[in-house]
Amino acid sequence: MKHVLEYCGTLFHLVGILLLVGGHIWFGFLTAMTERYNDREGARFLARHLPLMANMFGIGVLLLFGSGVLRLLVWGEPGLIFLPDPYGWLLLSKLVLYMLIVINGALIERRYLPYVLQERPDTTGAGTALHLTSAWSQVKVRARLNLLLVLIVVALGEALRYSRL
Amino acid sequence: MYRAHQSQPSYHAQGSVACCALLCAIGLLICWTPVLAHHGGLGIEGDLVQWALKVDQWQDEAIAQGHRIKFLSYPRQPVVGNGTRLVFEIQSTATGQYVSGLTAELEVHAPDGTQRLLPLPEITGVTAYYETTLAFEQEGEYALTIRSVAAGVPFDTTFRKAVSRSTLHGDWPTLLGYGTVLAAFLVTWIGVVLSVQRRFAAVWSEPL
Repeated sequence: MKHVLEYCGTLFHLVGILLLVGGHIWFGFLTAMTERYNDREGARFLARHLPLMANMFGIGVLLLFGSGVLRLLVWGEPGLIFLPDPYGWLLLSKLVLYMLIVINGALIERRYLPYVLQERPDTTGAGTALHLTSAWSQVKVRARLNLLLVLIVVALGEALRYSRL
Repeated sequence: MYRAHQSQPSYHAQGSVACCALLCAIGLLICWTPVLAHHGGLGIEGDLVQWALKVDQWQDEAIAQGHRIKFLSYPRQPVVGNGTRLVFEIQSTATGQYVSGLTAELEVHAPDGTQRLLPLPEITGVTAYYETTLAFEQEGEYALTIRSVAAGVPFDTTFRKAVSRSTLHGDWPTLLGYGTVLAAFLVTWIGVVLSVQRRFAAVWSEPL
């Protein structure tokens, strides 16, 4: 049973990483491309799919946190994050960064996403100034900040995995 | 003009190929798990992280008169009043073989100086595992001395184990761990609530 739980925990963690990290990488890449080539079609495409992306990122966050806590429970206690070993400090850093990511994501979703969706261009092609609005700019900046944070978390996770601390 | 139009798709293609290669490399790194040697003790197969953390492994070991003695407690953090399994494994340093059939005993030194002597029987069906269950009565550091005689030669060694009042009132690392995990849980919960609310709430009316 323990092995099954560990397997499921690892699987869900990987799926969460794919959704959150992969999604942020692609979102950052695509927004950069639309900016670089002043691609209005691209901006329209992104705006149309923002709600879906928000859902995917949310599911990714829940999978990551749920599987992480599941693993701590399987190993022992949820509070046993291996402090004061170096592994514990790295895990603590991951958790703090995770909280920043979630707070930033909630801010994007609550504060800026409604405006972007409201200003979303319609199918006739009107309102293509979407990428020039302050709300869209904030979404892009904060999504890039989240991308940076999730990449740091991934780097910390890989460091934990391959260093015998 | 024609060239300028052609170079753009080529740039896109190169970028896509580079991104795919990067993602594949990350995926391979994540999925690759090296095969580890396995030697005795409790299960440590599989995960390098678990192995490094000694999650399922012996928590301490000592050499005494030609014997390597490994020790673990379950749970790792003993709590006053709760039964804690104390497991010892004895191995010969000369031959590497596990030593079974010994008559061992455990001397427990409480923080207030009192002592108790407990029999440490070998676990049936598990070679060289000697185990007892003890309910610690005091908070603080206990000294656990295992004694036995092998081939006429007595040996003993002492392990130290801190006992806390509760899992939440342990040392600061445990408290900090619980606090951080709780904070992460709260942030996640609030994020979920806000996210679900947005899907049902009207767009904010105040200007940006």
